Amino acid sequence: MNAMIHPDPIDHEVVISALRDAMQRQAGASWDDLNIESMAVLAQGRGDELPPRERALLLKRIASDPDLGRLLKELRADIGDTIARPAIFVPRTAIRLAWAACLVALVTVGVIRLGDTPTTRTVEILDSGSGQAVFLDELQESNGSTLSTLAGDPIFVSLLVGVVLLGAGAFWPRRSSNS
Amino acid sequence: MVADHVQQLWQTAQATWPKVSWPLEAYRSHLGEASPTHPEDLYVAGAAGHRIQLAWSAIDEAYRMMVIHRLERSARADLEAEDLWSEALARMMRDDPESGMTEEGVPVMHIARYRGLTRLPWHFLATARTIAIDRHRKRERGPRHVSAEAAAEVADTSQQDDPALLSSQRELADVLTDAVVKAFEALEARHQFLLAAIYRDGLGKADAGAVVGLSPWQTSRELRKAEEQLRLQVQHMVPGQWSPDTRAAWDRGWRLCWNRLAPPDPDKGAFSEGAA
Repeated sequence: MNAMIHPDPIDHEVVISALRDAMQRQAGASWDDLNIESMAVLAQGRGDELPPRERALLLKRIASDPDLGRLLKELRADIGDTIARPAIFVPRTAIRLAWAACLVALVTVGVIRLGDTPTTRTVEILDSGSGQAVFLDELQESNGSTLSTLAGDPIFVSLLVGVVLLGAGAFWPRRSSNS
Repeated sequence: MVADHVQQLWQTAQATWPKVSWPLEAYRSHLGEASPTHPEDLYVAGAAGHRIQLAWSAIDEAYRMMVIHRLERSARADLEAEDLWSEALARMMRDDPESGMTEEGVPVMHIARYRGLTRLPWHFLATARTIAIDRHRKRERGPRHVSAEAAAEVADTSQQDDPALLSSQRELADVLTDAVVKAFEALEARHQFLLAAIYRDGLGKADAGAVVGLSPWQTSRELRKAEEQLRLQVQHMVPGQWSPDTRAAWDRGWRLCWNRLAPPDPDKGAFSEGAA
């Protein structure tokens, strides 16, 4: 603010008038060229299906014409309930929470399973052929490597699949909503 | 679009509208390269646009009551739902030479502009609603324009005794008005829309956000961005000293501004959170 502009209550009146002016630029303008189908699509919350340029122009036009704002509001009341959102559009927050829970469970199960893996030990037994004591190694060795141990665990595998699927659903990039 | 796919769409559409006969080639030409969400409705609308009377009858039979029931929820007292449906039909039946000519050499009808993005009854419903609001606004109020001079007059009311101050205030009013209008216009489209829809039209945040594809929390975030950008741009255009007092005064100004722009709603508050 320069010295001329000071915090005077009058300033607010000017700002109010200016904003009202900006928001009502096209009030009363003809609607003959208005694409009504695009308005309906917008009212249904499917504006991203419109060409970006058309969508941006329409949003700006609504912003500068209060009657178009009213039209959009009424259209939403009319047909806003006609959009049956498929399950894939479950809010991402919920999907991300589920993904995080699944991930924690996956790590927990993994740690538990690895902890439970029997260790190799040596046992002394009597060989019936020779009559001598021999050492039999790895009597309780795990079947294969650590990975194969986990891969054979149905709970771990289910959680792993869940983490992958939910992760894709939660973080797969959407189409930009920028106008 | 792949020929087989078009033929498949055409067959499905024919099955949906058995009374309407429209050649495959005409449908293909009408469809062009588009992949409509509702190809069946595009079929019957295209046929109606090409003046096939059975298509109009089929539309009336299938969608009239559906649209009227929805219109009746909030039809204007001066125009009944039935009338609105008839007016919407009449508008769709207007000659539209820009959309092309039929084989008989007459202009196709306005309904041919329908692209199949939304269901045909909602297209009619939107048309009817547009007619109602357009008529109402034309009767109730003409074009409005709040000029910079008018804004300056408001500013002048308490300073009429001092010519020097008067001149200074006028200059200030011009500068501020210009800055605010330019700042608003410089905002990206969805920010303009969010500010207007939420603060001016009283649309709920979730509803306004849904229109531009935002979740409620994203809407709040974008709204704050819009407010901040608006204020920063005004500050940028009217640079100078910036003190805590000035900031507080501007904050009060914005809140007052939103309060006055928001339509009176006796049932609930005009806006959900403070601006700036």
